Amino acid sequence: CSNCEQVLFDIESLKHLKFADTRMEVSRRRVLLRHLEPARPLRRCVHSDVGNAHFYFTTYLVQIEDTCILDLGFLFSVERISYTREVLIGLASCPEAKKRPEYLPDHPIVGRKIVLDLFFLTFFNQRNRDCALEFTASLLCK
Amino acid sequence: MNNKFDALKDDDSGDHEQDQGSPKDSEKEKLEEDDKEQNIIKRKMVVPGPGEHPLQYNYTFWYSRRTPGRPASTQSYEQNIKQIGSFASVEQFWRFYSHMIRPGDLTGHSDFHLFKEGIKPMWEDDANKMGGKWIIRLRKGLASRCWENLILAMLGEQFMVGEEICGAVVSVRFQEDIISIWNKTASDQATTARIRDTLRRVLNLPPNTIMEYKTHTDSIKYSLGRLPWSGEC
Repeated sequence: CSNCEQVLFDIESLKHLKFADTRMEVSRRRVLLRHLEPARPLRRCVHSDVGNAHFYFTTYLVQIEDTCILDLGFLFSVERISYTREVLIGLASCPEAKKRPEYLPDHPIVGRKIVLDLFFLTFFNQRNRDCALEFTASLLCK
Repeated sequence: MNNKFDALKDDDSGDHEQDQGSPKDSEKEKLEEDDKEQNIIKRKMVVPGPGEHPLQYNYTFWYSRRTPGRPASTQSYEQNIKQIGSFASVEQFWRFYSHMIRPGDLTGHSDFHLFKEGIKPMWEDDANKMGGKWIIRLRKGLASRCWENLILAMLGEQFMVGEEICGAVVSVRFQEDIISIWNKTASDQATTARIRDTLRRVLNLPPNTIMEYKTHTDSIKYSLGRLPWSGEC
């Protein structure tokens, strides 16, 4: 997606920046207010903490997929791990999901055997279920 | 428990009951045993297994039931709620869910709770105390399906309200069942509106469905006003 492309672009560009150095920045305020004059660059020393921020920032980007940069000014958010109902239901059929939990209390609400009346068996459209199971199978094969 | 939260939970949506008396010795022993058992579960840190699908948060299943024939006043809600287990992945969730009976098959005054790990399904928990819940009252026969859809939406992060969701409850009662979803900040109207809209969507609720938002502060006030316990709500 375009966001991902933007992220990749930003990773590459940030890798080459040395935030501990002084660098040239353009004052946006001056540009806006005094637009008839040539923009005068400001020499600003970026605090060394920004170097750490850069490190964590790029580490985040490299480690986590689906990252979206909101703003180039180090404002960014990381998408959450989300699943649709169909994917979750599809995963119910995999062998790992059917094992009895290791620590399951002895309690009347806990069945000795797997409770078979999962709602997707009765309410889920058969064709969609097949798709979900195929999807699950493909995940398990990876 | 001996504080304001010992009060009754009056609205029946997975809430507390008062604790005015001391449990008998045999009950105390049983509760201590239960605590030990639950501590063992708590100490076991859950992580997704290799190749499993991690969830955004770890969650814990809880179960509570008012013992038939015993006055509610002798029980504390906290003592009455039982931890079933925690999970960190989709597969681990299904392991628990598949081995638990469905809400529609519960009898009596029972609740299933599914809360983020570390958050107790109690008003007074730090994560809940400023929060509230959306309540939907269901005709008998709908609880199992609605509960499943609700918790799948919660685990799948379908509500899109950041860290706001605390957990969900299904409460089985005599003439109706109630599902509710708890969030952290009752005063955040944008968040509560988004939760409401998502609930409508994931539960496929008709537009005229009555949905009630109740702050936990109000629940506490109301329950204190109802003391002493005088019977089934």
